[in-house]
Amino acid sequence: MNAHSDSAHASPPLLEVRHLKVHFPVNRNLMGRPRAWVKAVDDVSFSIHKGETLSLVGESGCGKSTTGYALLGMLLPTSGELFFEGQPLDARDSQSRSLARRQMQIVFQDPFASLNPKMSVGESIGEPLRASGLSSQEAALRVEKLLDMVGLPRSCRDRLPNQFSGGQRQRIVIARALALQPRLIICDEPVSALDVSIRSQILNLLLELQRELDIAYLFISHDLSVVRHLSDRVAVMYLGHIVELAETEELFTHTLHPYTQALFSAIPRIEPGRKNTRRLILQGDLPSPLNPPRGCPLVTRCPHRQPVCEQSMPELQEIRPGHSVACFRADEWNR
Amino acid sequence: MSMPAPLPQEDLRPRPSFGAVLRSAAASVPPYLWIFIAILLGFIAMALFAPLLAPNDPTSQNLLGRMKAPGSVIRGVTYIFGSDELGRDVLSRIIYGARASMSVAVLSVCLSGAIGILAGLLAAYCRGWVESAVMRLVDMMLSIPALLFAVITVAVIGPGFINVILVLGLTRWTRYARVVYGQALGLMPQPYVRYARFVGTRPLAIMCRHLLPNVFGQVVVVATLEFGSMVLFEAGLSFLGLGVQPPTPSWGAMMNVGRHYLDTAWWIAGFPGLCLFLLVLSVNIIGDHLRDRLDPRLR
Repeated sequence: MNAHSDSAHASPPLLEVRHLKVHFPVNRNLMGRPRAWVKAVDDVSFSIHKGETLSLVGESGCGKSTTGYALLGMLLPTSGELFFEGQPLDARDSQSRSLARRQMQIVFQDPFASLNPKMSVGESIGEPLRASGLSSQEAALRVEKLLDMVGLPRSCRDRLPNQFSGGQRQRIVIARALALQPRLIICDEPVSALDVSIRSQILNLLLELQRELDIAYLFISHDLSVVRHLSDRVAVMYLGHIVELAETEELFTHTLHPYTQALFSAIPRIEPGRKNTRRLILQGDLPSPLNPPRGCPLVTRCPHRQPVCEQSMPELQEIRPGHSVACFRADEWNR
Repeated sequence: MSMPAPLPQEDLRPRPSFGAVLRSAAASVPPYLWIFIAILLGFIAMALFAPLLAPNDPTSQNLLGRMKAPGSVIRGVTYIFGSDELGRDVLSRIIYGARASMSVAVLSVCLSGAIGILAGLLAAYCRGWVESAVMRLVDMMLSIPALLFAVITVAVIGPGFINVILVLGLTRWTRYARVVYGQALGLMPQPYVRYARFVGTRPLAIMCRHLLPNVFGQVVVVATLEFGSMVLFEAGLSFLGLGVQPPTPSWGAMMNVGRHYLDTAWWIAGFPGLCLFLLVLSVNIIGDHLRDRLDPRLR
């Protein structure tokens, strides 16, 4: 599972994100100048390697999806740099955008809103193909292959989305994401809108496709058991920052950041005879991203805060091999 | 590659046949509505097959048989709805008059619909200054009384069939623009529209393939209700002498002439008025029903 991390540094990563910031203006004054900014994503850096699954976890509103959209250029980043296999990507440049959409695709959370209800399944799957200049005959042939790949009968092509269940629709959306043979698919909570009984089918399909086609996933989720099941590495986000990033088993066994500890202690454990003693509950509520705390984003809620936490923002530092944490007291937790 | 096991065919919900869709639509029509659908279809048939249905020539005058009461027989010709001040058959004129009303209404609905849809889609898709320009223009047009504007414009460019359609089309597009704009604006953040923009589908294709099909139900509702107003506008303009010109029969013009004889020959104005009333009433009731059916917020 972790085969990528060792060889990762030899070649440039598939996608490298440096200091990504996405700020939204709010509350404009009379002249149209913003009076305040929501810092949805604030200085996020990470990289995704070929064929690996990186999960972004965190509670709602922490900037997971915004990060995903900014990578694709669906939202314009406020600042930061993106490199695809060492090549810079610029969402404002049309050539770079067309490279981005050939290499990166997205699967949305809501399988009902992801497909135009008035468009046949074949047309929906063929849309990225036609937009990239394929003739309709070529697109139709490719659509049949794509339906095979996601396990839907070819006769689905002429049907409308309302004749399919949520799981079947998500298969259609995955087929559409595969159409341009991308190297990276951003999965924005692809199973959280689905029935529990359907989830494993879709997750297995994603894993199977990854094995066959060597696709990398950026898997955005708040379902920790799903994340543990399919990711190679996990990044934990809080209030627009990555607070901890490590390989999956390392993160689940050596949880260092207080926020991650609180997050993971919320996973219910079913182990007879063992009491769940390490339940860590954060005080207070998530601060408004309009008015984030100075210093460490967790400072208002952290049980271990010190004066230094209120002064400056801790950097993401590698504390153990492949395990980075943004906490001033990370070394203490590592003992 | 190894394929995932395909889903068995029966897992897919069966596709309803066209006949089944039609039957279920017909089943949801309340019984009273069939009356109004029948009236509307009757008027449409009247307009389409006027030469076959009209018992007499609508323009042939009979000065000896002027203002005869309904049911009179003059020289072997029965005047079921009576005759007018020039001895023309009122029934035949009503049947031919349906042509003027219907064709002006249909064509001006098409023209105003096309302008309004285009304006609404552009405003919702482009946002920014296009949005401000279009929507402020809509506000401006809505603040001018439409009939007054139409009267002045027709008075300037001259009456006539084409001019009436042009004027109605150019003044009445605002309702479509508002509805289309509002609906399309709501569709823009939908994942499928965002995805289409992401993969580089051209703006025109997004408007025609993603936005328009999903707002079209609302447009049909507006068009139905507008059709009723258009019939009234045409009648109003013709009543004022600014619409279809004589001797072509038109309900509005018939009412205008007939009002001079209301105390002696009520049928000259009465029957065209009744037809106008029935047509607009049925169209509006059908439109209301469509709106209730198609507007998900009212379900």
